Amino acid sequence: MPQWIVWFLAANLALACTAYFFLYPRRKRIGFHLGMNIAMTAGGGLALGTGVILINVLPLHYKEVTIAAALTGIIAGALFGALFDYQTILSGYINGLMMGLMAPMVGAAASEGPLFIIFIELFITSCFILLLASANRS
Amino acid sequence: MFTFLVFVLITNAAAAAWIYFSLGTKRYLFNERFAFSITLAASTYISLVTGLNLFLLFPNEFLFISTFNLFLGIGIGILFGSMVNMQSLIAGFYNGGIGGVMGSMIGAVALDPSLCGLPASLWTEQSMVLFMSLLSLVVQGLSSIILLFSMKA
Repeated sequence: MPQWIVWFLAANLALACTAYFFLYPRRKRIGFHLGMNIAMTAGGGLALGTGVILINVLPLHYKEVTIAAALTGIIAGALFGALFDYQTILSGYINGLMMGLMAPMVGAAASEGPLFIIFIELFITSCFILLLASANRS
Repeated sequence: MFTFLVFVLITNAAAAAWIYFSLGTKRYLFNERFAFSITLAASTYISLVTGLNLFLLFPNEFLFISTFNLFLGIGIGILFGSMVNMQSLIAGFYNGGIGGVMGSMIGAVALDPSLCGLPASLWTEQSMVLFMSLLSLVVQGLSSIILLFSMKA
C-alpha cells in the first residue's frame, strides 16, 4: 500500500473544518430533521475514512486504530450535533461510535490496492458537498 | 478469564437494566422525537455490548450464538421502543438487530484476525479478549452517562 494515502486524512480534516465553519453562522436557520442527518453523516463519514486509511497505513496496530477511529467518530458527531440541540448530539454520537468500531474491519478486509480508498474518499467528499448544498438551500 | 467475562456481562446487564427502569419511570414525559432519539441510541449500544460479551463468552458455538444475538438485539429494541409509540418501535427493532449482528462480527474478528486478511498471529487471544471486554465497559459507561444526562437537558 503506498504511503501517500495519509494525505487523505488531512483532506478529510480540511473538509470537516470547512463544513463546520460554513454551518456555524447558519445554525439558527436549520431545522432538527436536517440537523440530525447532518450530525449522522459527518460523524459516520469521518469515522469511516479515518478507520479505513489508518488500518492500511498501520496494519499491525488494530487496537489503536479502532480506538482512534471510534474517538474521531464520537468527537465529530458530537461537535456537529452540538450546533443544534441535545438529541442531535445523541444521534451523531451513536452513529460515529458504530462506524468507528466497524471501519477498521472493512479496511483490513479490502487491503489490496489504493482504488477502494480513492472511492471511499469520493464518497465522503460528495457527502460533505451534499451537506453544504442542503444547508445553503434551507 | 471465564469468571472475568461473566463479571463484565453481569455489570453491563445491570447497567442496561438500570437505564431501562430509570427511563421507564419517566416515559409519560417524552414527546415523539425524544423517544425516537433515546430508542436509537439505547438499543444500538446495549445490543452491541451484550452481543460482544456473549460472543466472547461462548466462542465455539458460532451459529447458535450469532442467531441468539440477533434475536436478543431485537428483543432489547422492542423493549425500549414500546415505551411511547409505533415509530420508535420500528427504530428499536431495526437498530437493535443491526447492533446484535455487529457485536457478533466484532467478537469474531477479535478471536480470529485472519478473517479480515490480517496476519493470524498478530495478537494473543487472551489480550484481545481483555481489550474487547474493557472496551465494552468503557462504551457502556460513556453511553449511560450521556443517556442519563439527556433527561435533564
